[in-house]
Amino acid sequence: MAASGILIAIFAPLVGMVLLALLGERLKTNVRWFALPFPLLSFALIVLETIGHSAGTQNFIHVGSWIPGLGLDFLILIDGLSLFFGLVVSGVGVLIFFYASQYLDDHYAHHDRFYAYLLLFMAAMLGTVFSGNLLLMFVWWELTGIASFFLIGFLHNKAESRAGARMAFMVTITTGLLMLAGIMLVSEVTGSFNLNEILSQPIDPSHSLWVAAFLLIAIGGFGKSAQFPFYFWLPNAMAAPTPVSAYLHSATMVKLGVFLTARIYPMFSEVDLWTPVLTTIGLTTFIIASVFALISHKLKAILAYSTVAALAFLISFYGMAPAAGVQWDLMHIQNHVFYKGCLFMVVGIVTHCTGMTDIRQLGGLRKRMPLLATITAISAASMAGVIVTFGFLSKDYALAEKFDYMTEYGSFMPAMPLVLFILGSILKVAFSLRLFWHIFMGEEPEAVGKHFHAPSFGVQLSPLILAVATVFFGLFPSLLQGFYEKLAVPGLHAELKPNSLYLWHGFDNIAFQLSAAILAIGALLYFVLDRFTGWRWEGIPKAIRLDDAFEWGVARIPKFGNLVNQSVRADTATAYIPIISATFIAVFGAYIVYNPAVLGALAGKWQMPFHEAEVIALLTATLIAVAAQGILIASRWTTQLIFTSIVGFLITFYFVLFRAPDLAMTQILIEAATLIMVLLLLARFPRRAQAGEVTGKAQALLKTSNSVIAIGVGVIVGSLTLIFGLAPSAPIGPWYIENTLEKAYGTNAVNTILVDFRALDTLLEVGVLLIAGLGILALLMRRKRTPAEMREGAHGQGGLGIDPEPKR
Amino acid sequence: MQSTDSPIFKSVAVVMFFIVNLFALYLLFRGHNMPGGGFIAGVATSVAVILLSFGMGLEAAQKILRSDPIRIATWGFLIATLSGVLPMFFGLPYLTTFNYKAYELPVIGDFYIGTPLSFDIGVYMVVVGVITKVIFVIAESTSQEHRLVRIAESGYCARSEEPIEEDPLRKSEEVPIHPDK
Repeated sequence: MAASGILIAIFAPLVGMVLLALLGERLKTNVRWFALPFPLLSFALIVLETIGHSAGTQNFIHVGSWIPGLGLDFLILIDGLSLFFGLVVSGVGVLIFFYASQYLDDHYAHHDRFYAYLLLFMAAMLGTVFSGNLLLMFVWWELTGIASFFLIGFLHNKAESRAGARMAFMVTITTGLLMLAGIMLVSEVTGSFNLNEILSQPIDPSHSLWVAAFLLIAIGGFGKSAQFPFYFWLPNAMAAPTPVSAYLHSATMVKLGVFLTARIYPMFSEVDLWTPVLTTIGLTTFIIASVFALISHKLKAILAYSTVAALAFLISFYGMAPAAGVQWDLMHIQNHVFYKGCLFMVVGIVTHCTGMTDIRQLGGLRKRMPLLATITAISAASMAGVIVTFGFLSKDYALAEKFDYMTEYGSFMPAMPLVLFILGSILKVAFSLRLFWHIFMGEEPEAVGKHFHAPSFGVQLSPLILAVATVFFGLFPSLLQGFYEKLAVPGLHAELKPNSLYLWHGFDNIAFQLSAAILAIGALLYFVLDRFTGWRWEGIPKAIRLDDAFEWGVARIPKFGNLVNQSVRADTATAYIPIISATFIAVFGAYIVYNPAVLGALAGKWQMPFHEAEVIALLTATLIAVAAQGILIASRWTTQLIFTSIVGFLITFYFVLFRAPDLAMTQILIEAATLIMVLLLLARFPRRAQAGEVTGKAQALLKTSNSVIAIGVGVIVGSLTLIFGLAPSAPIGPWYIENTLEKAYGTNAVNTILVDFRALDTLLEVGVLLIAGLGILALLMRRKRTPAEMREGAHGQGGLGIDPEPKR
Repeated sequence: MQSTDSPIFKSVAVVMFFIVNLFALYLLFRGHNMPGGGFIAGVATSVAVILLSFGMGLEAAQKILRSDPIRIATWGFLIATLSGVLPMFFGLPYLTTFNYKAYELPVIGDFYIGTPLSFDIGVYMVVVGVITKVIFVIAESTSQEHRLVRIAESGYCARSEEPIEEDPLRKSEEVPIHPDK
């Protein structure tokens, strides 16, 4: 029962995606109302599942084996962590789908695709969090990256969308592959991909493979959660439409790294590097991103960097967990989902209504949008950690935890986390204040009023719900105590003290005093900056932007390829053949010189043909050789072609002699088709070119060396055939012939091998054929070299491969 | 390619088209028990279609296929893939074969119907699609069928690139490809 609910919750959006993809075109913008039921259904099912969940348990449900040979089982894991993330993904999903239905207007084309991608993403997210098998999780994990690629690049006519999508894809997929390597190492040590089997084994935490596995998987998490040094993709992903930014790049997908850290906590928390790696990376990112958020000017960039900072805090939080287990991690995550999802939707509305994306262009909007100003005030206050919001609690408890780390159990740089956290929080207060103040307070610039149109209530509903929740849970946090107790995960969470989640801890509490000091200093920092700098800088300095460095590196790759291509290529295939053949001869010649005894294997292999069939075979082989000479002697292309065909048809006869009718038939038909195709191709060439090819007499020296090479290759291949070709030690053919009728219900063994015994090979070969066909089409329709390029010769600017950058 | 001027070739091509295709289908269906199979049948059909295009002209031959050959190939790949997926609904591994033996059918005799056949049909379609498409495209460009070339380009050529084939209606400064015509 439990499994079916979760399975429906995962697969309903997938079904929805297919339906929308097929029918969406006709529904036009009405497609939004057909998309909304799917997240609602998933959310309802996961809520039901959460209600029925018994506290502190992990249920592994084996749905089926997917690829048993690889250890890939469809194993679902239902525990507090997966349910919590399931609730976040589907719950925020409902809000976002509704927000998108109000936000996307007729200016956006292809609403159907948009919702289909969103549903795909949602299914992939739910699949990831409920996976109990690491390989299965990886598959869903990468699927979220693919969905994210499509969503970031949704406005694909904009260059920044394409660049952002490509960057996000490359970073997350590459780090994801490293994570796959880590997962492989986990299975190498434990012998399984299933979490229940992995966790039940005693593992030496200092095992070198285990440490490597931890590092690789952590890199996967850092990539997805945009941690240093991968943080640069997230701000660039903001080219996506705002609902996507709010959903994928603040509330859910980027949280996967945090989710992963929590998921692997029971496996790796004993590893010595756990605390140093996660804390160092997390806190470094926290500070860098907070500074960047403060000095950015684009609305979405400010939020993107603050998201990176919040994720960094969460990852370092798991890094500093005490041995007994973590507490209140879910609260911190929930807090971030509430305020950041809300703020993203708010800046989307602001941009939508004013057409402005830069915070310096805005101001004084409180009069025009009072409701939105209130919502923003609440959420920004929560981000800053002002009392009565949920953010205050989160910061309060985080400070207390950092303080405990310093005084009680911290083994790795005990005071550093507290200091850095306070520093980052001060910056956070400053940019929260700036975000609110510069949009809604102060004087309204003239340009704002020109394009302004008021937002509908519908589009403000989703952020309003989140803002109300922020205040409600900020005032009555004790309501959530039971929720977190229920969602405790064995091995990850420490037991919570009864009634330990409450708002007011008293004045003489160190956390409260620090929190108040942070607010005061942060506000001071903002006013100092506002007063003395006037925010007059151009954003983040070029020199420290990693995304520029990344793009530079990516642009070098085709250039490098072009360089290699230009330095080694020749325009005619005949230039390559002697080199390849000579290398072949050199390798074998060296082997024979080094080890002359191998020549002994040739002794007694050659027998004069005796049977009638053997004589015919010898005759056929001779004829083939003679026909091949004809290719050399003939001077016109067409004649040479006919000689080639004669060779082909004689080979067909050879197949018949060896009782292979399938091969013979295939050979005949292929010869026919090839002949037609080559004749057609030859018709492409002007007669002049043909003439040029014929009259260009090879020099005598070249001719001699080519003949020597040709004879050498012939001798070597002939000898190899004699040595290896006659008696295979363990033929596999008879097995197929014996079993073909019994196992594959056919009498033609060649065909049963193709369609039954080795059907997967055939399927993939057919796939290759299809790909090759498309490749041929692409090549045939490629750019033609201009006469000027032709004159430049082999080393000129290529008509092959990637176009070099246009010359200026 | 324009249709040929020779009425004899034209008539023979049409008749041969049916005969070769009949032979191809024969090869396809008997493939499981006797020499034959999807690949060979596909090549045979392609040769027949090409023969027809020599007789009747490229455009007519493409009309007979009714859709872009690559489309046929893609559907074939889908059919082959799906005939492997079918057993998974019964809890069997991917590409397990199902066979149903039909006894003593008229004309045909004993015959197995099952997923190997649908798999072979998929292979057949891929082979037909790929071979005919490639040859069509080459034939179109060599026989100066600019209209057909442009149709193919609209599907398979990036807009920023120029096609390899010369089109006198579009460009003039290039070296002429067929100087002797």
